[in-house]
Amino acid sequence: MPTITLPIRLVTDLGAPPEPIRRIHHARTALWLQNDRGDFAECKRAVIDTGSSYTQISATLARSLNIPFPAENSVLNQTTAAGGRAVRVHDGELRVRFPPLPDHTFRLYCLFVEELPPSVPVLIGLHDTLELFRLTFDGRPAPAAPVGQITLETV
Amino acid sequence: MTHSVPTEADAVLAGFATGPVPPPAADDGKYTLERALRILRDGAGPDDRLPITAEVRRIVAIHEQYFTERLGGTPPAASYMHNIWVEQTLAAHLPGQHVVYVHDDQGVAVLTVGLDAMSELFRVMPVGRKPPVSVTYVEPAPAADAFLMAR
Repeated sequence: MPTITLPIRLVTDLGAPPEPIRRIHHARTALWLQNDRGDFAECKRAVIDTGSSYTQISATLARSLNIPFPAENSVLNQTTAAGGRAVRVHDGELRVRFPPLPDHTFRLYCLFVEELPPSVPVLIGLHDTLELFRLTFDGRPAPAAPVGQITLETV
Repeated sequence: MTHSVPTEADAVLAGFATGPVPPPAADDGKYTLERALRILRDGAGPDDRLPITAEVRRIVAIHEQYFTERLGGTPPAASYMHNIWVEQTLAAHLPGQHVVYVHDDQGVAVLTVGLDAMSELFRVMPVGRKPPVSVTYVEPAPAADAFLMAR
C-alpha cells in the first residue's frame, strides 16, 4: 500500500533585535499539479490543512499554471477562524502527484477561489483527501524530518 | 522561542495577505523565455544560478544548528537542508515574486519571474520533464512571518 512521508517544515523568523527568534511550523508539502497539456509543475507551497473542508487554490494561480477548471461559478459562504465571508468559487478538480510517489496521480475535488491571492499556498482540505489517505502527524524528530512528519497512507 | 500561531489559511482569510507587503524585487529583464527554454534544453550553467549570499549562509547555518540540537547532535538530512537552501536563496534575490525554477545540488536557476511569464512558459515548454520544474511564491521572509504573527 503506497505511503507518502512528508517532513513538517519549520520557518525561522530571525526578527530584529530585541525581538525574539520565532519558529513556526508548517504542514507544508510540495505537490505536482497537472496542467492542460497533461504535464506537471511542482508547486512548492501546498499545506495540509485539516481546518479546511475543501482543497482550495487561488483561481489566479491556477490560470497562471494553465490548470483547467470550469467557468461556472457560485458564491460560497466560508467560515474561518477569523469569521465568515462570501467568496466566488469554481468547483473542479486538481490532478496531483506527491514527489515521494511520482507515478501515482490522485484526483482531489477542488475549489478555485477568485478571492484568494496567488501568493496563498494550495490548501489540501479534507474532502476527498480522507477517502484517499489515512493521515498521521508525528512530531518525533528524525534527520530527514527534524520537527516531525506527516504520513499519508493510501486507503 | 516557540509560539503558537494561526495557520496561513487563517491569516490569509483574515485579510492579512491583502495588507501592505514589500514591493517585489525588480526583474532586471534577464529572465527571458529564450533563456528558460535554453536552460531546460541544455541544463543550467554556473552563470544561470543565483549567487549564494553571506546572509543566506548565515540563515541556513542558524537553521542547521537548531535542527542539530533538536536531533541530539545528529545533523539534519541533506534533503531537508536542501529545501532551506533553495528557499533562502530565492528569498535573498526575488522576494515577493512568483517564480519558476530548477534546482539541484549546485544551486537554483530561475526560469521565469511573474505570473504572465509563468503561464507563457507552460504553454510552450517541452512536456514530460522529471522531476518537473518548480513553482513558488517567494515569501519575503520577515514579512511573511510577521503576518502570521499579527494577532
